[in-house]
Amino acid sequence: MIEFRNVWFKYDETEEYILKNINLVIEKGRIYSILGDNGSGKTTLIRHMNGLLKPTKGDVIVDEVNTRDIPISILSKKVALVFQYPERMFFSPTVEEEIKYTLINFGFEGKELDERTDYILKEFRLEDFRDRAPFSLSGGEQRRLSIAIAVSWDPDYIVLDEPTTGLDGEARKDLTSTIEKILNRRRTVIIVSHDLEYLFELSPHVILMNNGQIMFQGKFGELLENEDIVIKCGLSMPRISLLLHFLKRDGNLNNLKYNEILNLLLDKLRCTNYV
Amino acid sequence: MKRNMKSLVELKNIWFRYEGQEDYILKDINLEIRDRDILLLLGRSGSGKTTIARIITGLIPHFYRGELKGNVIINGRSIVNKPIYEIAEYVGLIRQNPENQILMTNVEREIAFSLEFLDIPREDMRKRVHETANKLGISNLLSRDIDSLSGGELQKVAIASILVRKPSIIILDEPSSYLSPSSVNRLRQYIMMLNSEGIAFLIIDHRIDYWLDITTRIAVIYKGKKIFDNNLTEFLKFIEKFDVGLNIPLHLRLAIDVNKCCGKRVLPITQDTKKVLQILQKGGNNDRV
Ligand SMILES: Nc1ncnc2c1ncn2[C@@H]1O[C@H](COP(=O)(O)OP(=O)(O)OP(=O)(O)O)[C@@H](O)[C@H]1O
Ligand SMILES: Nc1ncnc2c1ncn2[C@@H]1O[C@H](COP(=O)(O)OP(=O)(O)O)[C@@H](O)[C@H]1O
Ligand SMILES: [Mg+2]
Ligand SMILES: [Mg+2]
Repeated sequence: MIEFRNVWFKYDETEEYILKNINLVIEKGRIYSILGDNGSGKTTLIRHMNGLLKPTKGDVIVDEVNTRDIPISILSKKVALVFQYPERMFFSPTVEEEIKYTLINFGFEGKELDERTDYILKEFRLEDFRDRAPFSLSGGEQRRLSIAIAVSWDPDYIVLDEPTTGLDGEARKDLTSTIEKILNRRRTVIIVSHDLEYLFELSPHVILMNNGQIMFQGKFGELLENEDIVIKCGLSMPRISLLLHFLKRDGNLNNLKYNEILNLLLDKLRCTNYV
Repeated sequence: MKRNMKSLVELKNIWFRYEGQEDYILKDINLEIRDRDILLLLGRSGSGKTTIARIITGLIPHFYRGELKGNVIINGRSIVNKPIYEIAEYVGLIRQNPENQILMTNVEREIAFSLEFLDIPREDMRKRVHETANKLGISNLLSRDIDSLSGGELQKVAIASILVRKPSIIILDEPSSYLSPSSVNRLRQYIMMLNSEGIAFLIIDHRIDYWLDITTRIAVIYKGKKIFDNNLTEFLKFIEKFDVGLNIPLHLRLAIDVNKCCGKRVLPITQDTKKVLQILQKGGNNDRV
């Protein structure tokens, strides 16, 4: 469990607070999404989760340990963080070595190291790039690599800062199934995002930030009921939500997963004679 | 508005591979950006979109090694042997990773920097910087250090530093990556304004929903080849027939899948979701399309 207790934070002594009295509980084995406009404090918030930043006031507690009392090196083994600009973390000459470097860092060796590396390359469809320099990959390929590295040692908490950036349609589906696998292993996933469309499939618990404060917390479906808040916080409603409200009017739409929406719609259309 | 068919950029039979690669990344690409175009360039990641942007701007062959065949014509002149600063006069590129194009440490200086060489008075320069910042909603950031910006703020600065110069062709490589929807809205409005002043755009983006309603044309690259190049109406027909791994917005995907499941055109493939809603309320599409 990750707990924020009355957390205030500012980067600079003189400036105003970037995070203002954040109280938040992240429970194990669930998926969360942190949403909000540019500059609302999302990245600042998640940097507190692995101790990269310490609160100016208040406390962040990870599995009962205060982040002030534990070195980042130990905490970041438990909480993996994929940065918004993944290129910042690459420095090895090849993709394979980039993955191995991290694994070695977290105690993998010998046969286990090789097997794990191969598995990760395969899982993320990076086999063809094994010997390429990370910097020579296209943007979406680099993104895939950075996510692959973050999950490679199976950390308890995986925090992804805008993971869909640069990903095409297929790669998004792959990411969804990777996340589902991680969740099946009872790990915790936290996604920072601007993309409500992407979140349908995952239906996360949402935390909506606005100007350093939490404006809304609740189920993804509930957020879609609150168009006013969505717009006010710099996001936009997916166009499909217009249809959802129609589907909901005389049915019951508890689950927003795409296939269920499709089936509901098909059911509805079959009721008529046109299909 | 009269649309002039004058061609601003022409890629003719372009083949390209990076040094050390066996296969060509681009295979016989022909692509045209016409006067006043807002051309949307789509394709899976790794399909060669950024490579095309690098070719149009001369980064290939000047900065990236590889084998380039074919001709690139900008404003009626071949640029293949032209130095890069001559190309930059006409074409501005906002790169996929904004960090790659930042040169200064302060926001205002960064945006002003690209005007330094244009021989305009200081006061006008300041005005243009402030106008652009205002349009993109980053006026409050002008005095900030680049290092202290959030991801989206950095991207907006990178975009501003090119838009401020108003070159006649602007290429945006995945501009919405780090932007919130409201930031994209501002950008889109500014693009439409610049476009009405005569600037042509090439936009590369996976969030196609942001751009469909303002494009004049859409081109799709698949496995190194251009497989589609036409308007929105044709594009909507195209995605109904072919799945080439694009990130199709849910409202379009839903209509496509409904029709597939029913074996006929029950719902229209349209950006106008209200129309779909009306048809649903009536219980399906009566007339065959
Ligand atoms: N190192 C820093 N020094 C001073 N201010 C900073 C620093 N890093 C971020 N900020 C400011 O703090 C605020 C929150 O930034 P943060 O990176 O958390 O935003 P974000 O929600 O992740 O935005 P985006 O969607 O653009 O990535 C912004 O106004 C930003 O300018
Ligand atoms: N500097 C480079 N050196 C070698 N290969 C590269 C380089 N840049 C891109 N590539 C490769 O060329 C292909 C096309 O890349 P790119 O044009 O960046 O794709 P897109 O922008 O469509 O995602 C990809 O397979 C990528 O790995
Ligand atoms: Mg951020
Ligand atoms: Mg690219």
